[in-house]
Amino acid sequence: MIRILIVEDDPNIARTIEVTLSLVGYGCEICGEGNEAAALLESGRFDLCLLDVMLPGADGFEIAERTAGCGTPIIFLTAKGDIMDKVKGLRMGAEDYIVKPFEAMELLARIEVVLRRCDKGESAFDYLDIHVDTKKHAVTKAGVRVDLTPKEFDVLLLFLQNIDVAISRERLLAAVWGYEYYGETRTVDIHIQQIRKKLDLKQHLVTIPKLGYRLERAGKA
Amino acid sequence: MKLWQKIFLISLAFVMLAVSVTAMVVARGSFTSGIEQTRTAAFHRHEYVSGGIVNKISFERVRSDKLVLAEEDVLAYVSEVIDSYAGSGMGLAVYNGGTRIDASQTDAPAEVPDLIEAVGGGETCSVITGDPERIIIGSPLDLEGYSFSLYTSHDISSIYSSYAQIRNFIRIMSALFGVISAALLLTAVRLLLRPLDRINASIASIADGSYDARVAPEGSAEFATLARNVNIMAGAIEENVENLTEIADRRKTFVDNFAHEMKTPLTSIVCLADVMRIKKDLSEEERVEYADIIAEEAKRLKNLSGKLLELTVAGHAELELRDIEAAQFLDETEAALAPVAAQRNMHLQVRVQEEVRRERLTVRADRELLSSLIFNLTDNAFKASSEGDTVEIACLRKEERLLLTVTDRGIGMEKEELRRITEPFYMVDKSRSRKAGGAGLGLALCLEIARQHGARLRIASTPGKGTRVTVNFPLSGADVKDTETGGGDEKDE
Repeated sequence: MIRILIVEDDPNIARTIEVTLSLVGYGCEICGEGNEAAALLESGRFDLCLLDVMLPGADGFEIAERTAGCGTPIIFLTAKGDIMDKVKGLRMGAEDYIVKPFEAMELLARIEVVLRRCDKGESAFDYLDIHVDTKKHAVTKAGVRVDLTPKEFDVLLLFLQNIDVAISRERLLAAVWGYEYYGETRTVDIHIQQIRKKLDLKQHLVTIPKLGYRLERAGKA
Repeated sequence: MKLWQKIFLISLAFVMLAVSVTAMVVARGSFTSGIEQTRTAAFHRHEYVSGGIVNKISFERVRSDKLVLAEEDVLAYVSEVIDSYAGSGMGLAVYNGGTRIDASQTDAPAEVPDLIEAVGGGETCSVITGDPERIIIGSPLDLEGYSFSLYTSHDISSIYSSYAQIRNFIRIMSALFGVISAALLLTAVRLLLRPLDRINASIASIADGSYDARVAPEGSAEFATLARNVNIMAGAIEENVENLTEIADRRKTFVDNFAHEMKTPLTSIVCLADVMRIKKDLSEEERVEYADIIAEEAKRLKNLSGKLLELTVAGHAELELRDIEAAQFLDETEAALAPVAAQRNMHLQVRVQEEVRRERLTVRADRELLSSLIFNLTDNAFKASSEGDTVEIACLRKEERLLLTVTDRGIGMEKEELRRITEPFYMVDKSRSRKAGGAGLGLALCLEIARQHGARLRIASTPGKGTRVTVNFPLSGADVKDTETGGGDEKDE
């Protein structure tokens, strides 16, 4: 299981992040003090750290500097949207920089990107009789190879990573196509149709009115 | 055209003009006097020749022992005299009316009709003519009853040529002198105006934003004054810019902090609302927990916007100043705050000095803002205290001022915290303050209100023992005077 350290001094925000991460089954630990957080990070038990910049004790930049050698990828969480802070954070080796307030799906998507980039995400998914290998970029259904376009593959992967979580068309667009396509949600619908048809997922990949789509947990449908 | 070019060209023109005119006048003077001298000499010679002719004729008449000589003889003798001047460089001729009658070998003077006419009228005249220049003198000559005219010409071309030489020499010297004085003038002007370049460079660098640049007050008195004035101006600019930068910095800090205080509750609200929307099955406990957090954070946002509005209003609203009776005002405050204290299981004690009550002392203040001030200070005191503690509000007169104090026996503050306590959004204990719904704006608001009333805010605190805030109001009608003394862990605003 992926273990994530949440360094945040506001208990409500820390709890909010914990709840969000539990949606996709990440294990979490919360720490609200800078020096303590640095010590926890150095233990190397975590696959990722969500680090608030303004902290009592040592601030986020200081912690990132001190623990640069331990190899745990860091995503900064901050209320400051200042471009200079963003540059500073990324230059310190942070993997990403998320500005508060953020939506749950945005947080999850960006964590997923960082985990995959750092080779810490899952590389294989099984759903019913479907097997997905992210390293080989291959999908088989009941042992038979199914050809998916790269975009279809990415869409499928996003649903597999977020089982039982509703994903909006906008979020899908942003995650798979990038932000420049924002608004052209019909593209998403077409790809969903294709995935449903190729993998026979009509019963499982359901449409949620006004929201988007959801891949239901296997065995329930 | 640049100033140095103008000064240079004008000075050069004047110098050249003065030198040339002087030289020309002197040369012309010496030339004229040379001509006059020569003319005088020429007249002497002319008279000598004329006299010689008259003598010769008289001598010949006596020798021939005649009463009168014949005209042919006269002419022969005249020619003889004139011939004797051959090779002397002087031209001679004798005319009878308009006809030359001598037959001599000497050069004849050129014929000048005006001169001949004037001499014919019986005058002795001279004229300068010809090339090479000569002076021609004519005079009537009466010999043996016959009227003749004698003309002599004298070469004066050497005077003209030396005059021409002198003029040439003056021209060459003027040109030479011009070049030298141009070089000297140029150097002098550039040297004298050099401080101007330096002042210009400094002003340019000040204009470019280096407001700490200054000009060295060197050079002539005018430049030194200019430099000093430029420095005064630069100093004023620097001070203003510093003030503006400080205001901008403070405003930026305020906005940054405000954004932070806004975004913190928003993060929980936005993210948890999203979770509640996208999660498939939400248990009853989860729903309650998430909704609680959202409600709590929403309340924080509400408090923040309320306090911010108060702060803005306090900073800009027109004050409705009235004479407020302190004792009566505090009685009302006690009535309003007692339930709040009871709700927190704390005690509120209001003590008003007997003198204040008896003499019905008043302060000039805006009632709304004064209430806000006392409420905020008391609220802070409650927040710092624990259940069962007492918060005391006191009022007493000190000379011409009225002191309002709010005292608690709560947690108190360290020196460093005391120093920052009136900064907007500063909270000594963030989590404790937030739980109590604080936005970190209360004391900033109190400070603003005090400032508007000409009152001073003074905070004294000891960690673990409590805090006392004193608001020092001028009494109605009293002159505002400083009567403050310092000491201890205190902060004056």
